Amino acid sequence: MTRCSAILTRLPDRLWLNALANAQVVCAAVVVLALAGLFPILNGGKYKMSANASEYMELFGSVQDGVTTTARCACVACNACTCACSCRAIPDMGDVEW
Amino acid sequence: MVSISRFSHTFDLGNDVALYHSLRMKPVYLSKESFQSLQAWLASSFCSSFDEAPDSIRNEIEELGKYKILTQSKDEDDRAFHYVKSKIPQPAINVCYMITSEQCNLNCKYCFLGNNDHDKRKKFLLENMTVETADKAIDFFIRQIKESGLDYEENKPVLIFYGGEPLMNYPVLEYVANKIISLKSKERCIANIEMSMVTNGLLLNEERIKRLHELGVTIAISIDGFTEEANSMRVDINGKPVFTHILNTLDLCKRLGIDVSLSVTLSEETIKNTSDIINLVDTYGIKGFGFNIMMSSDTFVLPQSYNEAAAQFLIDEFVELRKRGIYEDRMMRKLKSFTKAQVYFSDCAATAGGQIVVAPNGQVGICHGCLHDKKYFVGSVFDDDFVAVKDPNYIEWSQLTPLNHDECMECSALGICGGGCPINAMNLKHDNTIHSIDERFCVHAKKTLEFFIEDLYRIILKSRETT
Repeated sequence: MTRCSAILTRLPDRLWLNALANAQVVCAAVVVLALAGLFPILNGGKYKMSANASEYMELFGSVQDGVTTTARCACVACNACTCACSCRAIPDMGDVEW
Repeated sequence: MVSISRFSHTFDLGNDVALYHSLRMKPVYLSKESFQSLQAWLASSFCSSFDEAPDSIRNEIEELGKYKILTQSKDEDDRAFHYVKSKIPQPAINVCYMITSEQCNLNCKYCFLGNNDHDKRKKFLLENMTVETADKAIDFFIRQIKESGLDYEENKPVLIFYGGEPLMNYPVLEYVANKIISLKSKERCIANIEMSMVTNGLLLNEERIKRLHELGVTIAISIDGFTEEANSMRVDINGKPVFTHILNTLDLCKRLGIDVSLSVTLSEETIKNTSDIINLVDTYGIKGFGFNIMMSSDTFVLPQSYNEAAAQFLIDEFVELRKRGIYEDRMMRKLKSFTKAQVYFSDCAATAGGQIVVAPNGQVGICHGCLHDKKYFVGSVFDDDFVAVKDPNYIEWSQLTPLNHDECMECSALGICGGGCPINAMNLKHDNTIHSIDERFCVHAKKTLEFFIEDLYRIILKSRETT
C-alpha cells in the first residue's frame, strides 16, 4: 500500500461522503454553466461574430421613430425623400432572398 | 474553391478585424487569430468547400458564408450583384419641388443654385409663379404620381416649396398649400402627402408662421451655425450678414411653440467647431435638421481637405446628436441603410427618378440645381401628355446609382453611398457629365461606413462585457 493510499484509507467515512457530494455539485455546476455559455473554455470559446438586433438599434442612440418636425427637404443640395426616413425600425434579421 | 468575395472588405480594429460585404452589408467580426487561420486555410489545398474548414474556425466560416463574404463558387459574386441590380427601383414620381420664385433676397456665397454668381443670377426668372400655373402644377404632380403606379396607401408624396426664396411669393405658396389640403380627401394618391419648405427665414413673421403651421407645412430654416463667423457666407444682396435676423426668426418660432428644423450648410468656418451646432440645437429645442456638404461650382472646385473635414464633422456631430435624440438627415439616411442591410441606391430623389421640379413659368425639370440654365427641364405643366417616368431624360437620371458605375464596384461603401449629386460631379472637371463620380461624396460615404462598423464593434464589445 502506498503512503498516499494509506492516508486516504484512514479518512473518516463522513469526510468521504462530503467530498463526494461536493464533487457532484461542482460537476453539475460546470455542466449548467457550460450550457449557459458562460464558461468559455467548455463552449469552445465561441466568439460573438455578428451584432444582434438590439445592438444595431444602439447605433441610433436616443433618436426616435418618425420625427415629424423634420422637413423632408432640410437640404440645400439634395435630398432623398424617396429613399430615407427617420425610422429606426429594427433590422430584419430573417433570411434574405439571396 | 472557397474564396473571399470581390465585394468583401477588411477593417482593422486593433485586436480584431471586421469583414464586410459591400452589398450584403452585414459586418462579421473575427479575432485576428481566427482571421489568420482563415487566411492560412484559404491558401491551402483543402478549401474546396466549407465542409473542409478546420474545426477551430468552422463557426466563423459559416458566418462568413452566410453573409456572402466567402464564396464557394466563381459565379456567386456575379449572382449576388445581379440580384441587387434587379432591385434598382423604376422611376416613380413622388416628390415635387414647387419653385414659387426664382428670386432670392439673399446672396449666399456658396449658393449651389447660382444666386451668388452674377451671370447665373441674371438668368433666373423675374416673374413669380402665378395662381394659374400653380393650379396646373398641382394637377400635373397628381397626374405624375398616378402614372407612376405607386401604392396610394403606403406612399407618402412630398411637396417642397423651394426657390430662390419661396417666401418671395408667399400668396401662391399659401394658395398651393390650401389647395393640396382641399384635394387630399378627393385624390387618394395624395392622401398621405407631406409639405415642407426650405427658407432663409427672413420673410417669416408671426402671422405666416402660424398660418404655415395650420396648413401643415413644416419649416426648415437655413442657418450655418451659432456664430457670426459660421454664418459669414449668408449675406443679403448688399453683402451684409443676416445672422442676427435669422436668430430673431428662430426666437419667434420658439416663442410661438412652432418646431422648425434647420438646414445647415457646412462652411469651412462651421466645421471648425462641433459644439457650436449643439449650442444652437439646445437653445432652440431643434429636433431635426440636415447638414449639407458644400458643392463645387463650374468656376470653383472645393479642395479634398474640405471634403475630409466635412465628412468627419458629420460623424462627430452625429455622435453628440444621437445622445440627445436629435435626427440629422445626412447621417440617418445612411444609418438606416446600414442597419437594415438594404442597399441605398440613390441619395437624391432626382437620381432615384423620383422628383419633378416646377419652375415659376411652368417648365418642368429633373433637378433644381439646373434652374439657372434650365438644363434637363424637358416638360411643362401645360403639356397634358407629358409622362415623366417614360421620358428618356428621367429614365437616364434614374440609373445614376453607384451600382451602375464600374468605378464604384471596389468601394466598401457601395451599399450605403447613394452616389451624391450629379450636378456636383459635372462641375468637378471640365469633361465631366452627370455620369461622372461626385468625389466629394466618396469621402463622406467611406468614412461613414468605417464609423458604423467601428461603432457597432464598440457596442458588441460592451455587450460582451456585461454578459
